[in-house]
Amino acid sequence: MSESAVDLELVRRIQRGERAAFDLLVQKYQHRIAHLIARYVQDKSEVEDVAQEAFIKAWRGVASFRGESAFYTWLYRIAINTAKNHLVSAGRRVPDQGVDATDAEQYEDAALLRDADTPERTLMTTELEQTVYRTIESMPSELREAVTLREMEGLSYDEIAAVMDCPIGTVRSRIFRAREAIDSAIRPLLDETGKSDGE
Amino acid sequence: MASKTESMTGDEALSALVDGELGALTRNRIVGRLLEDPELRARWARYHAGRASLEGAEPGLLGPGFSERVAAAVSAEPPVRASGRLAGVRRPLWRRGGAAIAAAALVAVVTAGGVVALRGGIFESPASGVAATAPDTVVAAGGDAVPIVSGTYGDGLGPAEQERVRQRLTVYLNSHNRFADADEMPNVMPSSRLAGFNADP
Repeated sequence: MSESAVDLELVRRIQRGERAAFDLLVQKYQHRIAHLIARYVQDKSEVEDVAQEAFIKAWRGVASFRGESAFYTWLYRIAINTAKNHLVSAGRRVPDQGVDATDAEQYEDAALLRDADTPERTLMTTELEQTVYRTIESMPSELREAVTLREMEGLSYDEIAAVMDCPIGTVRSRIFRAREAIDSAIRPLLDETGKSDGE
Repeated sequence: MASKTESMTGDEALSALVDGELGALTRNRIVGRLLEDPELRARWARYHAGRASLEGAEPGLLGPGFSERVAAAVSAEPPVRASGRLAGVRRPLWRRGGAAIAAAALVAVVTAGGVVALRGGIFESPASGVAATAPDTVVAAGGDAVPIVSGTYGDGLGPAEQERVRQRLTVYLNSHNRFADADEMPNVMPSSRLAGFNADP
């Protein structure tokens, strides 16, 4: 049981003809994919176009996706190739180093991307990120710890339950409450800018 | 896990879905709800935006309405035609058994037909009453009456040939026994039982 199982369920529905399931995958991965592409395409105005092209390629190829690798690994590979092709077609140099999609398979979250951030980019936190961090800091410690172990450390509910010495249902409830607090805090920002992209 | 998810609210289940912490049944149910409920979908998008922030993935890189633009672009694309099922994803039981049940049903029909024919004297000469009846006719396009040629499998065979046919039928039934696995199809009688039927009184 993992996020991969959710992705496979969505892919299975896409392959059965439910287009809306693809929208859920786009909403889930759009930010990670954009962040990944931004490592190749420095011009932010081009990032969105390349990301859109990557998702369209994913749509065209999803019929043949058989689940032999994780969906996000497959999607990352498409995004990287799309970004590289974009640079080549624009006559620009393709960076020697980038995110290897094979390496990405070892990560359930975007830890690899986070670790590879430049100091400049790390400093360039958005209002959204600041809001999220402020919200987490203001949470009761048990919520903060639960959501941090989940989102920062990538632990499963079972593992968090063991660390926090509480039932798994409590873990699930704490993470939900933390997520709701974050959601309430960022919703005005997203409503204002439409960045949540699902409304 | 399923037992641990019974008391969850819908929103709590969505949060657990984001984390990949739901059992298959609940997961499928919540995904189904997500596809139907725009408000839940918006929450799904926000949960992932918040998560992206925590991962340092800069949600601000994409302009407003990005996923809608992708959806619009995708809607202009041809529909997905799945070329193969997902590896590691088991088909539903009824689909897995479907082909075997169809094959077993065919075998059962053939066998039952054989049993009826055996009881009715398939391997014997046609009854004189049947032979004496005038053949049915159909009218061909040219207006001529054309007799329908009818007969019974085994007509005109000698005893040795009849035995050879009987043996071939038995071999066929036994070789297709695997389609009538009693473990997977409790309501289908294994053909081996029918193949072992003794036609001689």
